[in-house]
Amino acid sequence: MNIELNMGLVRGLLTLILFLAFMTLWAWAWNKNRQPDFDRMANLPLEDQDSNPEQPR
Amino acid sequence: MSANVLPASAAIPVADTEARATYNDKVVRQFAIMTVVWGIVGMAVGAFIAAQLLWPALNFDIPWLTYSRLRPLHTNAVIFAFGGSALFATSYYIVQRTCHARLFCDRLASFTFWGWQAVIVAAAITLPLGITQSKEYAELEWPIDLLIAIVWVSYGVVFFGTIVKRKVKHIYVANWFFAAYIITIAVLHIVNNIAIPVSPTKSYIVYSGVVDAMVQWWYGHNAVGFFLTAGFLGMMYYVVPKQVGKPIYSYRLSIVHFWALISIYMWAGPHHLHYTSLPDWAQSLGMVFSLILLAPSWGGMINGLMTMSGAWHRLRTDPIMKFLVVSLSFYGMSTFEGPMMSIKTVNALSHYTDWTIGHVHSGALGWVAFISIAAMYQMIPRLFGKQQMWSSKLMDAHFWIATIGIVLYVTSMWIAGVMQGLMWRAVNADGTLTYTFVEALKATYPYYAVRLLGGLMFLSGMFLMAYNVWRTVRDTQPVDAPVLAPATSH
Repeated sequence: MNIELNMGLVRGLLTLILFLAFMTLWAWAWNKNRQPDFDRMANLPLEDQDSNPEQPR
Repeated sequence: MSANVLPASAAIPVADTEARATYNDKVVRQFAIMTVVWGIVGMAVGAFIAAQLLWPALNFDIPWLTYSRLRPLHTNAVIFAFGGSALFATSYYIVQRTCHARLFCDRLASFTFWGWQAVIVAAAITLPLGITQSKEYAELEWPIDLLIAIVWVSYGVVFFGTIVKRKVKHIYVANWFFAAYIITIAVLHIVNNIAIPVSPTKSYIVYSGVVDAMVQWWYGHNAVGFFLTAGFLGMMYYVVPKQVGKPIYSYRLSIVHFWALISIYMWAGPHHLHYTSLPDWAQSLGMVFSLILLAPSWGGMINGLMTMSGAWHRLRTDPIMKFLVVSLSFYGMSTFEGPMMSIKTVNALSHYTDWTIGHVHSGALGWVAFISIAAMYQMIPRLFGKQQMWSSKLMDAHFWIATIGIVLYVTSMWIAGVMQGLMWRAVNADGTLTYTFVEALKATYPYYAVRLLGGLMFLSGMFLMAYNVWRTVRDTQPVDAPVLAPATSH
């Protein structure tokens, strides 16, 4: 084996792993199957009795 | 105002047996009121020391009133007393409403309020007495540090206990930001303050030399990243959708920028130590991570501003919207300025000058204080059973006087800082310095006057707020809102 296990290689691999992790996160978040869950979550702050300040409580 | 975007069925009071269950809003009210009080105290101390820079005689030759002792009092008061109370209030308010559950353990929640106030009072006594660890934003001596650790862990128990109790499947993104801020501040505070006490008022930090400096700025910059950014982004992710009346622009963007933000902030600290004895590679690492930080920071700004898009007409009538727009704009500006200042060659000019002070206040007044003020104006009437604040005109006046104050403050410090940097580095043909230090100081004088004016304007805005809050709450019976059943879709 010509590839020596040196710090440069470790750093390169770490960068690659972190990059892949980020791309995976991105792909996960942009997956269409997630959309209904995200829509429900995004509505959580609005599920309140006083969501509309003009409505009498 | 906005139409209610939810079907009426979205908010149904829970069935009879739980009908009497309410949110724990008492602790929220306490922290909300103290946010206003500590805001005035902290900013008044800031204005006083700004005046001392103009008129040094204002310390009256009294050691307790010297700039060196009051400056840490100012920073601790505005960050931990004002900002901290705002974060406690909003995180407790938001976690209950987005989890549809009452806070976990009322007694512990009450302890976090009284414990945090005790920390602030202890800081206000010890710092003027000159009792300090001499670590920036971590000046408080070890007995107070222990109390902070206990209060903070209790805060974590209350917050995560409430998350565990939640009635909905998902954890709303605001709570992710609050969770990251609570966990990280605990880690930062404990690691940075490990010390050997030698008396009740004196201890020695276990780290030494450049390691001490690096630990300190790992702490210091992450205090900015997690206390002053992640926590207030949590606030933003509730206050903006609530005020606009529609959900956040992109939920998936909020997830990606959350993970990017918290992973990258952790490494940016070394930019505080450019051109010091910190190894060069660590300085460059800090610079590169600071530059990358622009992307996740702007992710938050874009998400907030795009949520408001389509509701711009409300800027004419709704002062809270004005605070929110300016707040997100200053967040975007200061998170552009920060990465730029972390570039070594820019830092060679800006470091140790008043440019840094301008940068900090564009973030602290423009972003942190404005989003907190908006949150308080939104929450306080609801917490006291009112529809809105007593006076919309006063909120408007507060907005304008504070905005002009920030602009005066920040621009004067930018100009002063660049001028100082250029004067300090100017050399004659024979290599001697062109200017003495005192010449640069003398040239800064007019800008110190403008800065004081800006600070006083921001402070007067806080007095308007206090009066408005007092008129809003003075003859109300505080009401705890009922715990609502989650929407049927959950």
